[in-house]
Amino acid sequence: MSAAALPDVRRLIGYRAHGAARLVLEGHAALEDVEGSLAAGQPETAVLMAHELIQISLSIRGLATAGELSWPQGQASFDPFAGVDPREVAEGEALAARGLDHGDEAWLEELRAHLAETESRLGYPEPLPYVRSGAGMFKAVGLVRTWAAHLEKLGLPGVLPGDWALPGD
Amino acid sequence: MVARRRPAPREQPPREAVLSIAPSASPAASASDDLLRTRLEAFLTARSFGLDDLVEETDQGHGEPVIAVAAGSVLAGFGTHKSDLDLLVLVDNDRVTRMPITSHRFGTLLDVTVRAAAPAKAAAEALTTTDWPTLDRVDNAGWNHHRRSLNTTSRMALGLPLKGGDDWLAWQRGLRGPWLGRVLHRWWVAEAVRMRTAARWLAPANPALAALRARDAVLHALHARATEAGQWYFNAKWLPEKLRVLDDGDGLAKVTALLAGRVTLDTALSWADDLLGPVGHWDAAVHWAPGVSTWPVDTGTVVDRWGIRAVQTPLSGLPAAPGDGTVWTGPADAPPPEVRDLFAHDMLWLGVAPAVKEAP
Repeated sequence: MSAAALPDVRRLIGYRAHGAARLVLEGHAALEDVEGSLAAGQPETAVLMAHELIQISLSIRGLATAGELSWPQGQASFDPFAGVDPREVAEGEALAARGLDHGDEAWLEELRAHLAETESRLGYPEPLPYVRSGAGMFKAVGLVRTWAAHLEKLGLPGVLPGDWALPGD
Repeated sequence: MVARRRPAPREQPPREAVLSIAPSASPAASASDDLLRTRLEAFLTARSFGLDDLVEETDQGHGEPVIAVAAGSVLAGFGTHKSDLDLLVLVDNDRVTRMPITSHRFGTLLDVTVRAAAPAKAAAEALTTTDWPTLDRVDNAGWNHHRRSLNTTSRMALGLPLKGGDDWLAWQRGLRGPWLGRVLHRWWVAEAVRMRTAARWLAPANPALAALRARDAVLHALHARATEAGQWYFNAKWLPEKLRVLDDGDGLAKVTALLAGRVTLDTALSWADDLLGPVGHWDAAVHWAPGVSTWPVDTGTVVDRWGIRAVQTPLSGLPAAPGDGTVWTGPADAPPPEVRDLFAHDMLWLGVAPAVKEAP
């Protein structure tokens, strides 16, 4: 489904804003975990994080239709596959599992391509920032500013974890 | 109105077997500062930096640290070339927030967590005295507070001190006792039970999601076993490496089978049961998930999240919004079908706690 035409403004803005935030905050970190674990000879950890990466990637795709916007830690009923074609779910899970027997650079490229496909569906004209680099963090701040007022006006959750502004406890 | 069963008064609650397990002495917790320093220096040397450079990063403009430690996967011995390096810094400044601070000075991501010293110390103290989990402490806020307390306290305990006053360094060393293993073990058991409960509630409506939660239940139960055997590092993604260090071939085989997608829902639940052992009866407490609003109608209640997803339930008299009270409390293995339906629509936060036996 095109990000440019969804039947509800909440869904469209939620998809593009939260999809981008989830991708740069969660997706890129999971991909780095896979890459690092694989290089360090930790194949099970690499595949565990590949499953995490696929769930993140698919959950972003699902935001276009039925996916839940907020993803608080420990939400046991959160469904990363909501709104995703079951064939895409099966293919994604099979891709993650393939790393157990074929955890190599080709497998990593397929994982990167999965996330890249998810990013392309979000419809941003420029590549999303890489917040784990110094320059990327500044670009991400701009991304947050783009959506913050719209999300607040629509009563949708902000794209940054809500507790970041709270005192540590 | 949803049937609710309040727990009995909490005086002298009979503790279930799960809460009486005393983890053995911990190779992870007893890892010497020399070993931690060796791991850290190897990481820094590969990037042409020294410990003094790292100490400079403990000052993030929030005040002089009362204590600062290096922590995380690098110190735990699991780090990779992509790993972040974590610093945990306590300061006498109660205005610091949870906003993460990052630096790229070392050619890798440096995560600096700055916390107010007094609340961090109080949270650690509370872990030694608080009876967790209990039903009044497992709503979304209570669960997350406990998770953060465990994360901060265990990182402080297992970290390598970089600077600090004598009193604070003594406090940090004192955190490394067997009590920490017990509270960490209790967390993983509770999480395994919670995920097992979720899987069973979800199975009729959403077997694919139920399978994910059953997998989580097994993984958390294995974390409990690894914790009992001395692997206290509180980060879920390193479970395979913890099992490898422990030479736990059975656990690693279970993880591999789950990741390969070769395990059915029933088998995963059976594994979770076996791994958990006799944990007794548990109660559930469900609250509205973040973003829920309710709309009473003549045939029940319409429930929505963020005005973007909605479901109608025949239940009425429900709390109006998150924070307004418990939607339902009762035995975790006997939820009303309407509650299970709301859970399957991702409208509820699920918390669990060992059942407290009614007074005779």
